[in-house]
Amino acid sequence: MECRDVRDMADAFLAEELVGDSSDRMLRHLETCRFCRDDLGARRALRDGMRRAFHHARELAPTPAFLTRVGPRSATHPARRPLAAACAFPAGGCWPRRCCWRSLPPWRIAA
Amino acid sequence: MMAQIPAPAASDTDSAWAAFETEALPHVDRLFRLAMWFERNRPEAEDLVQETMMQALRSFHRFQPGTNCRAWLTTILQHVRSNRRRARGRSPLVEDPDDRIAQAVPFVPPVPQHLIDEDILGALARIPAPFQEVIVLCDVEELTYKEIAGALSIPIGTVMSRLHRGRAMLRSELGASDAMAGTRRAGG
Repeated sequence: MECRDVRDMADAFLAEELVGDSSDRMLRHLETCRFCRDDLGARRALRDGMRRAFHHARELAPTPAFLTRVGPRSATHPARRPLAAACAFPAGGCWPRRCCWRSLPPWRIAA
Repeated sequence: MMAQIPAPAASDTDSAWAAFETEALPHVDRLFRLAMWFERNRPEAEDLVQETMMQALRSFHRFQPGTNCRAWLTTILQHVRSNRRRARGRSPLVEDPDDRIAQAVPFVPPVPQHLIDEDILGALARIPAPFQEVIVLCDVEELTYKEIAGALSIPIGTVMSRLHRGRAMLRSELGASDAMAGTRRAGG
């Protein structure tokens, strides 16, 4: 395997999508090629950086009010109550445009 | 004639809700970030995630425990998004992007050493949407190629080629912004 092949497959390697013996051949190449190791390291850093940026970006974060309405409730949340009761008596209010799914028992909306 | 679905016993309802709460709800934060990235509009993103969760609950009996729930939710979100775009008369984001644009990346510079979050997200935002989609789903959401193909309703080969070209464009954008930052630094 040559450097060019490694560069072509580097992202698939990082995504663990390489099939067959390509992964083994690539590992063997990486043992001896510093340039490809550096390139792979830079690609990994970019991928990790993108993941970090995405999860830390405030402008992408949901508001606490939205999470309270839609997201998981903590055990200490005041609105926490038995789920069956939640189906019958929604205490958290409804979504503005359609009824909150929390207020509907699954057999009703599965129909 | 539509078959009537019998109401389950209360304990079945409880367990269905509990399963949904355990499996699906923890992903709302990440699902929202994804929706927000694609929509760039908070009310739209909130509405999209709400609709996604509605549909997910409606079809939760089809979800197979032990499989990737986030990928399943992401697929639903993409389908809801695609249907909405179609309803609004916009083309769904499943068409092949302009290959000429994708292949016109003459030189792919190495990834700059010091990346800050704003640079990365800025560079990502500058590449065409179909390439952003596959990169975000693969690198941020950690979906497999097969899961991405299912979520976007495109062949797996298209996923791979868009990833390859999209990453080249991303690196090119990052290299350009790094060069500009270097020029600014040199200019004092």
